[in-house]
Amino acid sequence: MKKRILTMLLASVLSASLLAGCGGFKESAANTEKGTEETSESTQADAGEKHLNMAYHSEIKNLDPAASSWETKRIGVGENLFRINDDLQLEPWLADSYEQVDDLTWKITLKDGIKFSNGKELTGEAAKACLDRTCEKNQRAVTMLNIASIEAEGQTLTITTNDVNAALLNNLADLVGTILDVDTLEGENAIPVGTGPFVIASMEEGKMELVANKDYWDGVPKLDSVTIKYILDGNAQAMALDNGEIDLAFQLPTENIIQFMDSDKITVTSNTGSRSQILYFDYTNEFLADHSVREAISSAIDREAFANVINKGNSEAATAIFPVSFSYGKVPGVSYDVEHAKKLLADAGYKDNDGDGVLDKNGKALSFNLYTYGEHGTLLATFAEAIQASLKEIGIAINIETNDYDAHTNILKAGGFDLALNSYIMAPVADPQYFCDIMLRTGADYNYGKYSDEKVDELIAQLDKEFDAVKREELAKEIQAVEVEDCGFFTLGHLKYQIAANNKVSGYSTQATEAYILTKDTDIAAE
Amino acid sequence: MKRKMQKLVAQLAGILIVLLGVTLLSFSLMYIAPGDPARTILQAGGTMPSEEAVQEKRKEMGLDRPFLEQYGSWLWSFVHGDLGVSMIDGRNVSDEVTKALGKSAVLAVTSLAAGVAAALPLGVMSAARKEKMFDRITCFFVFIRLCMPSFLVGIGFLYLFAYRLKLISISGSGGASALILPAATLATGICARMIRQIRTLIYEEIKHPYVDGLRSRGIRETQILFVHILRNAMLPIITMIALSFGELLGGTAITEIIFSWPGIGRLVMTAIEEHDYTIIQGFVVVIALIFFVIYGLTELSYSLFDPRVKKQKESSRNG
Repeated sequence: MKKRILTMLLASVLSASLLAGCGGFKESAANTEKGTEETSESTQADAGEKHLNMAYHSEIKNLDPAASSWETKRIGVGENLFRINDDLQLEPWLADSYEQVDDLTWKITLKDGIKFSNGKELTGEAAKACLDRTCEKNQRAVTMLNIASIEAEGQTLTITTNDVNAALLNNLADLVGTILDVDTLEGENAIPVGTGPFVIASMEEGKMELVANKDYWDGVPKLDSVTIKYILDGNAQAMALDNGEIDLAFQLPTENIIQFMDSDKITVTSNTGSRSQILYFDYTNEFLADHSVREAISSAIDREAFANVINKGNSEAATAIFPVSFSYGKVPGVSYDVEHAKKLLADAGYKDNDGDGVLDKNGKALSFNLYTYGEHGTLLATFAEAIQASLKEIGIAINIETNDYDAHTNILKAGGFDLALNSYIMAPVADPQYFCDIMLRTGADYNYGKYSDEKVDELIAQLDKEFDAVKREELAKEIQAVEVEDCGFFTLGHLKYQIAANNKVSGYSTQATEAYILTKDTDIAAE
Repeated sequence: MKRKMQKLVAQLAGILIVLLGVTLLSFSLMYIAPGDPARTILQAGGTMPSEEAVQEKRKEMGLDRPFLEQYGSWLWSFVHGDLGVSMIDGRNVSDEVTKALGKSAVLAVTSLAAGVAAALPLGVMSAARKEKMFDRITCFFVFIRLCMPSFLVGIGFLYLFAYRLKLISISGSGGASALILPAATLATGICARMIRQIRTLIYEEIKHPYVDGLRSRGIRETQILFVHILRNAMLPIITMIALSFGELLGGTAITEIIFSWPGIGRLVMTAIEEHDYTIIQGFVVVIALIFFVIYGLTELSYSLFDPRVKKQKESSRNG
């Protein structure tokens, strides 16, 4: 009898703990059934159809360009009026032609016969509706596009800007210019519909299913379907790629990329991106306001070694500001020369009077704080330590402080930080104006070190109003030359944008703007 | 009866005060922490928004209002049963939290059941054969598991069972098979911790004279261990199980991330990174409530297992 009571008691405890999670249990059972069904479906699909499994490093929850989502573009669902091609030049995409009417007015004609994947026609009115909605909801769109009004007539859009906006067409290639069917964007669990080679078939927990848009305007997509699996952990992603569970992974952490460098079944493609490490000089520091100190610091850091040794070839050494692979990036910078750095400091009157290995002047030691932050994959903290070691050689002491990004930003905003190391995307739409405007101009939002040069300001003002592409490049180069002369900032290098994929996969975009991955040409070879 | 009502009212008031306290605390922590959701939204894609744009967005989201006003308006909607929508992408907080909580609950119940089922016999046997071979081997594995952080065990399991042996898919995506590895990771951790505690409890219990009495009456050793001794040691074990359940619901973010399990830990980790105040608040409220329920149930189960608890209560009531 006693035994029976005890058994009952034990069972009641267990069921009490089960009760609390009861609701979830049912749901999971339903999911389980669904899950197994689908897995078997996709295995069947593999037999006759071309199916790609792709890993995404985060859950795709947001697909709305008005909420700053890149995703529809990356997965080949949404397209823009213009795009950046692989030579990082602007070209019409959904647009057929364009014409600049005057400084403030642009006339853009859309290609004929393009349809959204739900059959609706892409007219000027449809494009206007989407752009209007994004501009109304998204501050980024307001800033980048600066549109006063859009008029639609047939396939023609007439866009008027508030001020001269020479980068308008480039900025229309940004995520904020993604054209989707507006009627599919509102409401809970909305699945957006675009004009691209792929259509979102379903969005569920843990994955997204895409199917080819059979009526795609630019030819038939080579793949039949795609599964995007959300694998958040870098190691798990690497394992899944290695054992063939996924065919393509992008934004793998550097340490996981390295393991595939010599693999004969996985290809790693690298393109120098504009995600760059940049060192701020705080001009309010009396020593850093001294040009010879800034030049000495710039000459004492071996950027080649940083890119090739510390970052194991996963970044490219910088010269001036922008990457050498950009047409306006080929500007010579300060060269690495430790002896020159030492001489500069000696000539400027810095001596080690107290013999502690650190130079000083007027009784003050040449010692700086260097602030940075921990960010996934950027190795900023490692770079900071390498800078500390390099500067020690020329008699400058560095005290490193690492915070999280937001705390770091607050310190920079407050000023008086001495040195700071940040990572920025310099050219999201391949155009130089963005970075000049936010970073180099006097009083620019991200010019925390208070760098100021009249000549640079004047050139940026010209750049903002210059429409001619060749002249824009020239101006961008000139701006960098003046900045290098000033030693206003110090760019260390540019991270490479890497995609790791099974050798069977071809035709995906590895463009450094990080805006495109799946295209109509993406293909997978049969086993 | 009146006394009962009084007690109930006092308990409810306590719950309200604690809820108010924890939500205010979590709200102020997020308020003090640098960064805000406005910036997160504008920084999507890694580009830098202008200061003007950030201020504009803050205003639009009502983040420029004074702290108490912001907390007050959150509290007002909460009192009206509305946890609001995510500040980052506008998803309904109650839906998100409930969905993720369901997922976490499945994981928690499974791993707890497995962990306890293994820990009870192993712990009891270890205590009964203290310092013998069985005990030594068990303690060795317990020690190893306790030394290893869960993320390491998780990646190890993933490597062995999914990558090497290909028994289970790495990417999970829902499904029952996706539950096995994360549950095993957590279950081994719970099991190791509980074996140690059960072993100590049982070992202390064995020393009592009533055990010798039972033996002298010729009752089988297993019956003595698993029926008489275990029952007497059950109170602290129940507390342990209950608390582990609460912890499992709220604190398994790392395991959930490694195994791409869309539970509440993962949800709140992302929310913290994104400064998504409303999701964080929703999480805090729900977890606080769950702990109240767990404590309540635990107390209730005490009187089931140990009649003395009930008697004590009754006598204090009468006396």
